[in-house]
Amino acid sequence: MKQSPRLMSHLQRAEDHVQNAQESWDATDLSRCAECVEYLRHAADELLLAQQFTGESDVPSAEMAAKAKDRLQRLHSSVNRLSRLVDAAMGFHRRLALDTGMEEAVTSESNG
Amino acid sequence: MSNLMSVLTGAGNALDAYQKAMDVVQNNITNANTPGYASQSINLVPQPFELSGGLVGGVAAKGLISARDDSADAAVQQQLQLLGKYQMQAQDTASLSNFFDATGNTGVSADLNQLFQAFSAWSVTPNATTAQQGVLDAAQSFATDVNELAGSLAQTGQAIQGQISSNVQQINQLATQIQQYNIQRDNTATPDPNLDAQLHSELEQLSQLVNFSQITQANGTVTLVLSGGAPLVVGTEQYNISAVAQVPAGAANPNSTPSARILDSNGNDITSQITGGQLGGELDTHNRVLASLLGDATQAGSLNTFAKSVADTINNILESGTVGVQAGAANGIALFTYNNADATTPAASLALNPNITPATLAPVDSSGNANGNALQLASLATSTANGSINGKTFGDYFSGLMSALGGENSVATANQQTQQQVADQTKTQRDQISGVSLDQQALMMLQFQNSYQAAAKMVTVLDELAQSTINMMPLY
Repeated sequence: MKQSPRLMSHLQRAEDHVQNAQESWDATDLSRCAECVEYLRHAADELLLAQQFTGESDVPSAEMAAKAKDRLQRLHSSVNRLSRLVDAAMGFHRRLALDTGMEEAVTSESNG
Repeated sequence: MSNLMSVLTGAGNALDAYQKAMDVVQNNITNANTPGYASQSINLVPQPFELSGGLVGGVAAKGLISARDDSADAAVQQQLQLLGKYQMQAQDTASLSNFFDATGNTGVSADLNQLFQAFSAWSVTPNATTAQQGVLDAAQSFATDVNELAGSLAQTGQAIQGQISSNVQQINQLATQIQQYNIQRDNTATPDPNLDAQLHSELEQLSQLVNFSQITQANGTVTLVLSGGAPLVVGTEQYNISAVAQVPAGAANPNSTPSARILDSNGNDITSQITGGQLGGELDTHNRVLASLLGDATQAGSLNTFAKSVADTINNILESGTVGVQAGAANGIALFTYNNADATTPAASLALNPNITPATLAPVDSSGNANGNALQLASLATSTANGSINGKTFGDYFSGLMSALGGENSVATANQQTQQQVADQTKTQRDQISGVSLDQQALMMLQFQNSYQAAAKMVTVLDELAQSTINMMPLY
């Protein structure tokens, strides 16, 4: 049995999780931030499985490989966009901590 | 491409909402110690998500939510009105009490005792010049101390009157500031938290000064009326009150110390409406406590009653006797004089009769007893048989007068101490609801920080995984 459909289904689930993560992200709501992280964790699990299948078996066709690559690149772009949101939130947070004299927040952020 | 733009648009909205939320947190922290400030939070509303319909989701900021609790604010104001009243009562009655020596070793009490002792010594040697002079000296000291006491009390009354005028001025200034708030509020659709803080700080200051009722209108403006209904601020209109010192025309005691009156903007007397705040406390002390001592338009005042009764009783006894037992001996003359213009003038004007000399003191009573008058006068120290006020000896009456004032001060001080605790507790309760907790804000910031870090780590992991998986794809 070829492994490609399973690879594609893991990629599909990873995409869904990243999409959900994007929708969940709300820098002003702690519970939604936590929800976003949880979706990202699931997406990472799916990608690990996809990677496992990619490494263990041949991808059956060039067409399938092209589709998989296309999906992975879109996923990569989505992750990058989310990365910008998170970075922006951290930037605001750092500025806020400095503005309000809560240096421990900045220190802890730097150490973290 | 349109999906990418949609996602970025949604992200932009979220960032905008986030920035606003963080600005609110920052404003909360900045104003943590601003009087009257109530913690604000942003009202975040999820946006519909349907990419095919162009609805990009995310979150939008829809105005501020204030943590202010109107009933908690009203409770604080009510307690501050009582506190202000008790503070002034305690302070002013303490000032009045300072002029009385509760031990009786100095002042009027001591002088009265010395006068009676002088009468007693005189009764032993009625014709001795030394004893006679002793009576005159003691009488002089007594009159001087009564004058000084009346003068000191009157001066304190004037000082209280000055405080009343100052309070009225402050009340009008605060009312002007609240009127200005109303003008600004009337021109804005949404409340400004900093303006709101300023308003509540002013209302709190006002509640320390006077008792009032507050009504917030639908347009956010505040109407303030005194408890009896006299307006201070209605919408964009302000109504000044004023303080006057007056003795009503046709009063029974036209020479009395003027009572403190508060007039509304139309000149109506609204003094009775002011029962709370520092102004209420000062009016009470001035118009009730002080008036009970020095008198006012309708009452003599206990100090005047005392001075007049002591003088009249002693004068009557002396005038009923003679200076000697021999036939044709001269009649006695009064020991004291005072201004009898009305019932409130004796204490301030009590004086030793300028015409009296040791030789004109009359020790002989109407029955011809050589020291009968002197004995009667000496007996006033302990007996009510020859003179009293309300069934009490003069000494007891004066002690009662001091005791009543001391009681006023004790009650006011106890009320102030209790009320301070109540006001503090009410403020703490209010601040727990609407105040800014720096700890809470700091905790919130740390929670956000942890959340962002977790998201950032997962994004990095995903980024690397996606890239490495792409790299693992075979090339055909």
